[in-house]
Amino acid sequence: MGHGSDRIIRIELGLHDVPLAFAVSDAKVLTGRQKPMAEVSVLTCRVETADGITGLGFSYTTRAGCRAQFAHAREVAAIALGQDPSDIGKIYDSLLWAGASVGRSGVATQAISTIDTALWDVKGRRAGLSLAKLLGSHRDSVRTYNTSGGFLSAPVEEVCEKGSASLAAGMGGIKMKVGQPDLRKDLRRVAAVREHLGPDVPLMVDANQQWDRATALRAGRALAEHDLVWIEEPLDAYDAEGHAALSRALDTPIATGEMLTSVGELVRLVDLRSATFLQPDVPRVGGITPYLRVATLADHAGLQLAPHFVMEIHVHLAAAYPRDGWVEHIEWLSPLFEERLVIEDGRMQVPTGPGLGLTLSEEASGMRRDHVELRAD
Amino acid sequence: MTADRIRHVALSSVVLPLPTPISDAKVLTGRQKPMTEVVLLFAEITTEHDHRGTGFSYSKRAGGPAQFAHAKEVAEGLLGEDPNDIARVYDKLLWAGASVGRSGVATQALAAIDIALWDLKARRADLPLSKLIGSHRDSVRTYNTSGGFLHAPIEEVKERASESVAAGIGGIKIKVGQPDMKTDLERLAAVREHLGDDVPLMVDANQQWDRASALRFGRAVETLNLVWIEEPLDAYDAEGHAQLAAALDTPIATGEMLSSVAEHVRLIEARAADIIQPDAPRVGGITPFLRLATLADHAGLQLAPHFAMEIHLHLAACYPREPWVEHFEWLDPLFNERLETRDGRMLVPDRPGLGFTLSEQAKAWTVDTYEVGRT
Repeated sequence: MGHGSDRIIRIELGLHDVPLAFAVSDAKVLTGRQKPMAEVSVLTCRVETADGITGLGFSYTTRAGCRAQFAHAREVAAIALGQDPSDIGKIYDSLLWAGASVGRSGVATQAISTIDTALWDVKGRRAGLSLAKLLGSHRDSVRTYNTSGGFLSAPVEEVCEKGSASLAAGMGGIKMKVGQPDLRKDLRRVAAVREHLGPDVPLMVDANQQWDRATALRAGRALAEHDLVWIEEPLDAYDAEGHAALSRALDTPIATGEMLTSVGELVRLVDLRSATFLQPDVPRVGGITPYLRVATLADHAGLQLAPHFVMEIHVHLAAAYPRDGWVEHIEWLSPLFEERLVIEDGRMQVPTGPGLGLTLSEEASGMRRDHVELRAD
Repeated sequence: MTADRIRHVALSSVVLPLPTPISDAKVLTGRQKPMTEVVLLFAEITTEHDHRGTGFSYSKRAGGPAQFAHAKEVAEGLLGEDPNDIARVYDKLLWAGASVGRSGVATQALAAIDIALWDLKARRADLPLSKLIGSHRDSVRTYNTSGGFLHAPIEEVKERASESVAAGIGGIKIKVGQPDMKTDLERLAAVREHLGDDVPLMVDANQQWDRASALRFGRAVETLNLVWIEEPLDAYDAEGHAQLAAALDTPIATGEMLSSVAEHVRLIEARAADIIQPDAPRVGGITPFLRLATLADHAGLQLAPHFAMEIHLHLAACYPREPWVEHFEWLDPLFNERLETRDGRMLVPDRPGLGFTLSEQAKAWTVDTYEVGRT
């Protein structure tokens, strides 16, 4: 093999159901749109090259969708076999054209995201660099906040207790859910948590798309006194115009973008200045390659980034973004991996090992529901 | 009047083999391999009141297994719902798959279900789907595509075009977009000469030009009076299509690859096409198709839906402006009924619903099935 030229010789895909310690509810459950969530489905991808480098990538869904991701990844992955793992954009395009009939958004790109992420991991490992350093990092740690204590399924006393425990464990901020049918209940819970934590702790709220425009504006005005870091998903995820109007009207920053599944969808938020904090999600937008495009456009527009979920990938990308942002601490996927991320003084440390710095745990094989392995001839 | 309830849903994945491997410009530029099959997702829905509806979605090349997997995962949410409240049911299933968005596989899996519910509603009313929605015409201008692919030598393209015209087809579309544009222009000139000036003729580049090549090609063919130039540019390049539409006298057609209303709205708002080409299974069903048709008409665009004439004939008949429907006989073996074409137009069937029932052959080509509820 000549300099710089390698081949993908093996791809292994696994579909996993990762159980949650307890079923969680956000506002979508309280408005009757969804049922409490008891597990997260994860599609893993291991790519092995002729040079003997192995990379790991993964995608996920909360609720339905991961079976389709697995089916699609299985159908297109063979096209990547034999290609040079360094030419990620080229491989990406070839996989996308194979599934052109199902578009460039959602399942099609989310399935490809696992391969894309694994290829970035390979590239980091080949260079002996963490993904953050491969991209070029602006910081060695990123401010982090905790979400998992603030769900609507928890009574407010528990939210307060868990908030204190998170801060004691080194978290830099606390996020709690709002968006219940009765806004007054939300306001009482937020006031109680703010009083408990004191004025200095960064606090965010997340309405999970359950307000209409008028309610969101009123809620935003009422919440102003609590000095929130942001109000997240006040409106339907696709209402770029409504989010932009709120952003202009309120002093409290607006955060949104986690549900969007392509660069094209996120660009609308960027173009309309719908958010102060944009919240892209690598597996949801189709991998690290499209995420980096979004990040470039977002920075150009002066937005901050607070990527959604999967801290294992996003800690690297948040470190590589020019503007200081936040990374979301959610430990749901920890059972899948051997490694643990280190948190201290309100910040998550960027792992220094090569690539993403992740290996699948023993426990992961017990959560595997389906599996396929493809090899080059 | 008591509300009805969905009691049974049957899903099937059907692999339809194509008699000849098919090549458009995407194959000649090396982006794709010739196509040998189409994968369909059928949904058959039955209610407590014993009304039945059948709908389908499809994928060309990869995507069929994912559509089937996703439909399986969300189908249970249909049981007990009132089949008449289609948008309400649709939203429920969409929220179940919110993690995978509102475009592509997520909505294409729902398309089969949505179309089955529209078929069911029309059958309940004992109306053809076009009449349930409200029709503007009993027949729609139709053109043939299947003779003009790039794998066919020019003599065959000419012969098949004559056969199509003799069979009552109203227009002929041929593929262009080969790496050497001169070859395209020669083929096109030969077909125009063969057919004469009066036969409506369209070309389709399947997204394989850059902006400069598309403009040059468009200029070179202005005198041929083409009905349209289809997909001159990348399907998502709304801006580029808009520039072309503004620069050329020949109309621009595009939209078949887009997989949501929002993606089509970009084309409409940018005036990226004179003729918009949505595809009901691709955009997520009849419900989203009707939304974008309203927006397209409001913007003054013409309509020529892509593929799946069995569904689109009804929808084209309901569009206020005179549309075209694409004649593609590929799906014929799946159904017991045939559509009739006469004097350049396809006749809207007067049977209730879409007016189709699944053939024995469709059952023989079924590779996977899934059922939920009481039969």
